[in-house]
Amino acid sequence: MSRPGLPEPLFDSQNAPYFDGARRGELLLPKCTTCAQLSAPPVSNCTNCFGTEMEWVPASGNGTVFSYIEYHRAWIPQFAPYLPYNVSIIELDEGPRLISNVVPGETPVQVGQRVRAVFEDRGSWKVPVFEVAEPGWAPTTGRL
Amino acid sequence: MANYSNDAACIIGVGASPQGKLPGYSGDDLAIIAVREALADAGLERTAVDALLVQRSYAGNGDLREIGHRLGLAPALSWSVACLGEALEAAWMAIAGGLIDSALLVYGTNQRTNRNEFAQSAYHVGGNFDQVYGLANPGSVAAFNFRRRMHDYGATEEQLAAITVAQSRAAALNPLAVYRKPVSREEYLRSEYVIAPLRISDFSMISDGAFALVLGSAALARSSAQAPVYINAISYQSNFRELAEPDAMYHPSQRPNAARLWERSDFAPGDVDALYVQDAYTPNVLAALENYGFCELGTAHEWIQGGRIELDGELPVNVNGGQNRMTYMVGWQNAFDAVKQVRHQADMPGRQLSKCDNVLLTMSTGLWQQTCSMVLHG
Repeated sequence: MSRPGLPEPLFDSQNAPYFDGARRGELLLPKCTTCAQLSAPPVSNCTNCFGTEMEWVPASGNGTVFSYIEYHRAWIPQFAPYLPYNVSIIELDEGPRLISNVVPGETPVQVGQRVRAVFEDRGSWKVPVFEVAEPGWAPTTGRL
Repeated sequence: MANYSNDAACIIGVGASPQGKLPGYSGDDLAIIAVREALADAGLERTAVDALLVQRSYAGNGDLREIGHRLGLAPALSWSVACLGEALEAAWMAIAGGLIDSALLVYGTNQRTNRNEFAQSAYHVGGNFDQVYGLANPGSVAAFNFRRRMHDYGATEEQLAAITVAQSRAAALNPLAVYRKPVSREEYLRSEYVIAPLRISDFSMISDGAFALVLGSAALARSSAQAPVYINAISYQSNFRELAEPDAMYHPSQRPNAARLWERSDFAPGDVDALYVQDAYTPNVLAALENYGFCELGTAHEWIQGGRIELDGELPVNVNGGQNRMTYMVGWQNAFDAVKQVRHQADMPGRQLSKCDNVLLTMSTGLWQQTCSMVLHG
């Protein structure tokens, strides 16, 4: 999928493998070789045991909407054509929480809704965004 | 546990510049105005001050060395700080620890005139993930929080309106308030979303202005010009785990902060006559009411209904109008107003709380990474 004009990712020492993976359609997470904690967003040291060796492992791409918001103002000008747009915190099945977008679809976004990663073109790169995995699902209020 | 005594430090002077849109003044110009008023209020010569603490602001305002130079000071101690909580904690530690007898704290900004847009996000999401996904403005954190509260506890946008209604009524009586028109529940619900579920009046305004505080030891306070307002107990807590914190939506730095405050204070939640919350976004009020023990977790959106947090309510909250209606001075406006209320010097009829002996003041940075709170009393 594609939303033309949206920003491309910027690479740094921590996230290059993440975006290399995304370009291949893989959601990779850094895993600590000492304590096995998975991290998101990408970090080059473990925030749990402070270990220094991380390996990149594939995640399922499945997760749940932990919370979501809808922007009605484009502080980031490239998003102006897509107002109002969604930003969500996705809790991956593997544990870590990611900031991403749930892309517009027929089913409105809800807290607790199951989602799965799809990869959106951004220039010559791709970034993981999420789509609703179970259309028609209805939430029940109450702590998850 | 640290060796300290309650009531070892006091606020002995407060000062404010005009607030709002003030073209022609730099943030530092406004800071000097506030300092002049605070020192006069305390009855202290500027050269008698032992410590200078300056909060940095946008556009280069609030440089410690620049402010120190303009004040012509050679203080024993000085700190450049990033928020009011850091300033109060450092000044309190130095005074309660017997290092110094007085401290001057100041913050000034002209970010409305400078058109600061607050495009930056608050979460540290790595790389440019915020740009990639359109995550902008620190209000996103409060919006995620309230959305989750809607799910977890059935909170509604109609319930959230009570905060804007209460604070706008209070601001109408505050001569320093920038927005003095009361807002009804219906007007709130008709107003535009900015980051849904939050609307324009859930967001702090952006304004120019400055505030200054003078802190003194209990010994110095005995000879100060004004009745001292004692810092009975102070508490602090940081938490930088952000989204990795399991309970990220319910202010993880504030709950341990509250536990420590009540453990140290001679007072309990039932003794508090007024609450001041740094309300960059209205949901912050809900978190504070729950975490400091005024109501149970998950009930604040119900608890605030029926005028309970208004000027004549059971627990008046932000009776200056808060950052959404009074002025965006990142908590400083609350410390100023709390002192005025405890002294019974609130300046307009109907604005002074009839009973205001004990006040709880709490402040947190954008994503709630750092929280400072204190119980003040006369």
